[in-house]
Amino acid sequence: MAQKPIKALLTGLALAVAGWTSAAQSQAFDPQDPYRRVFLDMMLTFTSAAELSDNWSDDWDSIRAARDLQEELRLCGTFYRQDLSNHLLAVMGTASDDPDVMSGIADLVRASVAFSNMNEDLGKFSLDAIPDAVLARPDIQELVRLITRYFSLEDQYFGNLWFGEALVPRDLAPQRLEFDYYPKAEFLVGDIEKYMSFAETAFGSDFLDWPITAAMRAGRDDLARRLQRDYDRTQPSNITKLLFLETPTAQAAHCQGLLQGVRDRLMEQERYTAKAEAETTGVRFASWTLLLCGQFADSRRSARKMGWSRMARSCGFNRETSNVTDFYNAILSGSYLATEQRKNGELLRSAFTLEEIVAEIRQVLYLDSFTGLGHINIVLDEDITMYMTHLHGMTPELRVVQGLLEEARGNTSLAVNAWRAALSSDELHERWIITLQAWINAESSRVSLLDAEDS
Amino acid sequence: MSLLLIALIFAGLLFWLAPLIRRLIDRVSGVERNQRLSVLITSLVLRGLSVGLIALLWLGITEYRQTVPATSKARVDVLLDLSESLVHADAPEVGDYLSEAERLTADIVKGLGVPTDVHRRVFAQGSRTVNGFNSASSALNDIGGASTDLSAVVAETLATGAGAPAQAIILMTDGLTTRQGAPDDAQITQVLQLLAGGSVPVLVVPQSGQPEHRLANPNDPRFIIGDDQGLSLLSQGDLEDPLVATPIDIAINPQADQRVAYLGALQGDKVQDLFRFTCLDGDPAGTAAIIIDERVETVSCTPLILDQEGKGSFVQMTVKLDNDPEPVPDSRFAQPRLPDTVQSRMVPTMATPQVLWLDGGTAPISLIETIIEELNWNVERVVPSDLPRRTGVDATDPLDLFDYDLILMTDFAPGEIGDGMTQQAILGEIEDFVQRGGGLFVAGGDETFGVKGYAATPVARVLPVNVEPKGSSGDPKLLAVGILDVSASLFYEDATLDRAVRYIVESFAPLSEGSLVRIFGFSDEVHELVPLDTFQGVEDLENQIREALGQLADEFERRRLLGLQPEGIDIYDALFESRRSLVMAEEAGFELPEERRVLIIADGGDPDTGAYLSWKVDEDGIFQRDTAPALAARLNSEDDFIINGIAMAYGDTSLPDIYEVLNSRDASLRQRAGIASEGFNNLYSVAEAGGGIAYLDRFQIPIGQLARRMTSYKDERIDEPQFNGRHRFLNDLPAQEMGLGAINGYSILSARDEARFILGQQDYQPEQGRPLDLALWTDWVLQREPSSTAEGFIERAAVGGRVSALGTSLRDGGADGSLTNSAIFQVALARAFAWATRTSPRDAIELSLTRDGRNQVLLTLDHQSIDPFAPTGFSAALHAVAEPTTDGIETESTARGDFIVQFDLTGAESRWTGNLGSIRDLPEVFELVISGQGTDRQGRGRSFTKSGVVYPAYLHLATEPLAMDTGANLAALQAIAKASGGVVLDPSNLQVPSSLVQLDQSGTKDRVWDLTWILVLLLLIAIIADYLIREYLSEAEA
Repeated sequence: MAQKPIKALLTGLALAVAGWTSAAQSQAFDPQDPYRRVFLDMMLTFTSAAELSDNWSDDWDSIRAARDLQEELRLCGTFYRQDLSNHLLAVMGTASDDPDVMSGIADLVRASVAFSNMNEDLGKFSLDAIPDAVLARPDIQELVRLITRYFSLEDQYFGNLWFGEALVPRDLAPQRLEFDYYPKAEFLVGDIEKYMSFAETAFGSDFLDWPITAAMRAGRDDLARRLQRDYDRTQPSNITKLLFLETPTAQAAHCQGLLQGVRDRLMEQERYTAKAEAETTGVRFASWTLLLCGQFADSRRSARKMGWSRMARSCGFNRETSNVTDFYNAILSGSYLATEQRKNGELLRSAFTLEEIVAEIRQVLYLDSFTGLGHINIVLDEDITMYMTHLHGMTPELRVVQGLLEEARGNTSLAVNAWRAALSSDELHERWIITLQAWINAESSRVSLLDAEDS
Repeated sequence: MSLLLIALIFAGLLFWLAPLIRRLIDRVSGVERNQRLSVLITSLVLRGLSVGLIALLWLGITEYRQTVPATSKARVDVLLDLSESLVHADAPEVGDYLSEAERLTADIVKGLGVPTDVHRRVFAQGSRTVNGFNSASSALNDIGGASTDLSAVVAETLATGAGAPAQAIILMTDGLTTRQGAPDDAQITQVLQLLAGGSVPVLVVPQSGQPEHRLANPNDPRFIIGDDQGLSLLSQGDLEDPLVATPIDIAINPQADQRVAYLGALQGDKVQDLFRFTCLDGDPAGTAAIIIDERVETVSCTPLILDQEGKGSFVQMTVKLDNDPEPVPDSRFAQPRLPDTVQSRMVPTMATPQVLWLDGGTAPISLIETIIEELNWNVERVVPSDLPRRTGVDATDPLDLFDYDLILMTDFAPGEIGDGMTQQAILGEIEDFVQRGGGLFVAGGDETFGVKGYAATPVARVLPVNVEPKGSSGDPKLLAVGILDVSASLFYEDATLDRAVRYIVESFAPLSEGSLVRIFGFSDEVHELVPLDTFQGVEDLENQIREALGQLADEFERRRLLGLQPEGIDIYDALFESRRSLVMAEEAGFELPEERRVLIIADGGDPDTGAYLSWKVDEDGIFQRDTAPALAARLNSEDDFIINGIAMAYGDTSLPDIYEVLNSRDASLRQRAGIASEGFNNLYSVAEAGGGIAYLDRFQIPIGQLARRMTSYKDERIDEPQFNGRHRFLNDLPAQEMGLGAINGYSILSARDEARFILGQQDYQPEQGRPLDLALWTDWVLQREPSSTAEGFIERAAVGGRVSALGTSLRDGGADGSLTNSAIFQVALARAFAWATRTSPRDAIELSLTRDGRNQVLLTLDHQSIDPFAPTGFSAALHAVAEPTTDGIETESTARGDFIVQFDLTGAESRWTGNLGSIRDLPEVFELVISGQGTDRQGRGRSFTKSGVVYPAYLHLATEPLAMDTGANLAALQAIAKASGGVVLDPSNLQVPSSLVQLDQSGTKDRVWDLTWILVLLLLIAIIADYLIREYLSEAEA
């Protein structure tokens, strides 16, 4: 068998390349080239080449593709990409003499690429082409799990949604996909009613944020209340409780507990730098907590620091969009910060902040477009509709944000209504009155009267 | 009242005549009655009436008051100067002087137009009251004409006139105040102090001094001595150094026939040719005689340079005029005929100038070295690195500026003189030095006269040019934005952050008035430190920054607990924010300046390239990449911002020069430089794209250059130069009327008569007319007259040395065509040094020896020192001198002759006097040895001894020679008139202002009549009447 020499060759190649490029500079940030696409494309190049060759371990095209993939991972590897590609190589190493398996793997990757490109039909078609026997293989099941985990962590919820829709009915979905990634995808970008069937059963009672908010979005307040009661019992300081507290005093009191929790975690870690924070979930939690608790400036700072910190790392921010959530947090807190500044009389500074937010919305929409705008629903239907308006009320600045997001979601009339409402409040700076008027007249934000750089 | 009086008299008459009247009535009416009874009754009634009247008067009115108009007279004191500078008893026409004074007195008093009470007084050393000036010639001999004590006579006059309803003084004098034959300017000051306030106006009638009034033979030739440092003084130069060339001024009146004037020193009874002298604008050099021709108006020789080789000693010098020159005199010096044609004087001398050269350049300027060498002066060059060991309390080799006569400053920027304290101390000492008579020559470029130059330092107060930073007035307004990195990496480095703040403050210092300033801190967000507003001065700016940073520290501490402390500076966003300043300015309603500057101060140790990158998505969803340098370039091209930067290096001290770093064995230093330069490279790319420059925080940031970049200059050439209006020499002077020409760079020139300028433009040729000067130096200080303040204090005329300023550096390479290579310029520079150097000795005693009228030999010692040499005592010793036996044999013997007598001089501070006794008791020749003791500026004991040979017979009588034919000292007289509120009158055309003396004639006075005597009279009358009645009655009864 040629497997071992080839493995040795691959390893040697990888090591040689690693040694050769060890001094290479980190990749510059390139949001035009989202890494998921490159990564998946490279995987597809490899699997397709291997599929076509009689024995891919003798085929230099396949080997070169494998080497490129590994090199990319060395430069900018994440544990879930590393796991995925390692497993892929392992599976293809063991099954190199089985054309069905090789073909199935290629179809699986092809489906992933299609889903990633928001091509549902092509992806599902590719999945349908894979025989059940191949899909049922434990190593292929593991491969599917790793692919969907990758989608999940990369915020590509449509991928998991469509994987679930294709595999769950065939009863060939890995457990994690069936009971975790797929329901979550339904919650985020799919059908909330479908999600509700999982809400009570699929999740442990220790993390009930999504089921509670899903129940509220679905209009089932009784269920939400019941879930919240369970939640309060197991974890008294939880975030969703804020949704049920009506008086500002009670909200503030609860917030104090939440914020103290953040501080306590920081004290425990005794690592005060933001870098340390960014590596914990604490900061994301903190930015959201601070936003809910009305600490807008600090929330925005925390959310932006997340992006800042990732930017400083070798590839994290450069190739990821997982900070889309932070972007949105920064935008939401920024809109309230602008409101605060306006009410403090800093009218111009407020207008500047709003301009910054609009620029950030355009950035985040651009990044989010690669995931099929997977976050907009959550931001609009849950963050703004449920949390923000309940806790902080609707402000003209938030309406500007709302309008832009609705426009991105394709609801132009809602967008124009939001801008009109913002304009009617008659509180914004002149710069924004002019801008909004132009947007309303054009029924689009794609007019630029006051570029942020204009003076 | 008069009614009462009439009533009284009437009552008295009635009382007295009552019995008679009664009898008359009885007789007329034919009534017969008992005479006795009727007379008794009638007289009783009448007497009762009159006694009542008397009682009434007695009780009620004892005196009678009457108000009548008062008439007053102004007291006019006429003071006539009879000192020798004006009149002499032997002069043939002295009577004319006196009668003219009488006539003038009458005319002026008449012109005053008020009733006057005229008091006449003649004065010289003393004073006397006279009834009329015509008869005052007898006073000439006993008021001591050899001196004029104006202050004493004025003080006396004011004292006697106190209480008069109005007083005016008519002063007829030439304004020459002397004491022991030497000018005494202090008297003028005293007079001004006495008269300040103007309550007693002085009408000054200047007396110009006619020769026929003061000379027995007015047609004899006379010398005119120029400056007061002329021949009547002996000045001892520096106490240690040999005497060198001394300029004196001399002029000789035109003569009817050709005569020869000789100048020399007395040696025995012959005038010896001890001096080589050079008459710069008169006779050629090297001659000892000046030929005086009738065709020549005045032979003047000013200055006359006297050279004396050899050790310093004072020398009695004689000027002799030969009335009857032989065609070729056999012997150059004939026997002097005393006293008419020989004037014996002591000659002032000067020491070799000591020059201190403060040089900020790395290598000496060879041109200066050459010039100093040619001038044969002593020079000491001090560079900034020498200063630490030469200044301050623990200096190992203290630098005493007062050891020098001239300070040259070339390229010597104030910033090189250590920290603030040292800098102020040294510059203050330079100011003091100049004010005490030291010379100063300043040459330099931007760092000297420009931004961060000597503006606002003590030196600026003595410079004749305005060294105001150009940005401070009249220059374009700027929008200046400062960006201070407040990320944690820099914010918590106290020393480095403090330095960063200072960089901002110093760079913004020269902003023009009305500029807009905004300073914000930047980490990854904006921290507004100084909100956009008009520039309120650099102190205000620094306070605001410091205060804002203090508040920011509190905020950062709060954030630190949340894990949200600032990290790294996002240069891109910071630049973006600075552009928003334009919107802010518009929003706030400011007029947006066309010139805009940004100064970024960032942590050099933060090499984060990501901070320079940015991307955005436009409204069409198109991805766009951007970088900080690209944004900086847009700011520069579209919004006219010029962007400068400083990359800070950590530590208490900045980094030294990069070569020093590279050669250093200190690894931590190299590491610091390496770290700092990473961030510096990025910042440099931004600044370069932004049209500016970035500096690494090295030991010396060329803050002047940076400030120049931060500020703006309309043009290097100023068409209408501005004098430094605050210059002390320019107080009250109409600076704008001085007719300034065009200037280059920072230099200024003047066409003012008193200011001489010699440095010309590069290719200047004399035939081109007046040069466009690069430099100006001023001796206005010598021309200013004293003036009194509102409080009556006299502001002493500014005294000080001369200052010459050259508005360009002397380091121009010396290539062909350069300024320093020009021969004209080289000569001019040498003359500038010679001009600027001290003209009076640093430590000098001026010694006068005179005979007074009693033939006592008087010694006056005037001690002058710019280095406050505080004398504690002077003594004079007389030694015998043997006549030189053979000519031509130089005796080097230093042994003194036999000791004759020694005595201490009396006096204090600067003026000391002594009396050598009668000339009859003194030897024909003796050696006078003067010894002085005292302490210098540093408290060190200091003493000196000087000697010279004196021939008492040749000492001239104490006279007042200096004003001979030079006319009145109008400057002093005008000052007196001005200070007192009076006028200066022209004797030939009297125009007396009638309103000068104001007499208040509207006043009244009470005339009081004492009525007590009237009562007494009434009583007497009553007694007499009673007696008469009794007589009558008894007669009638009989």
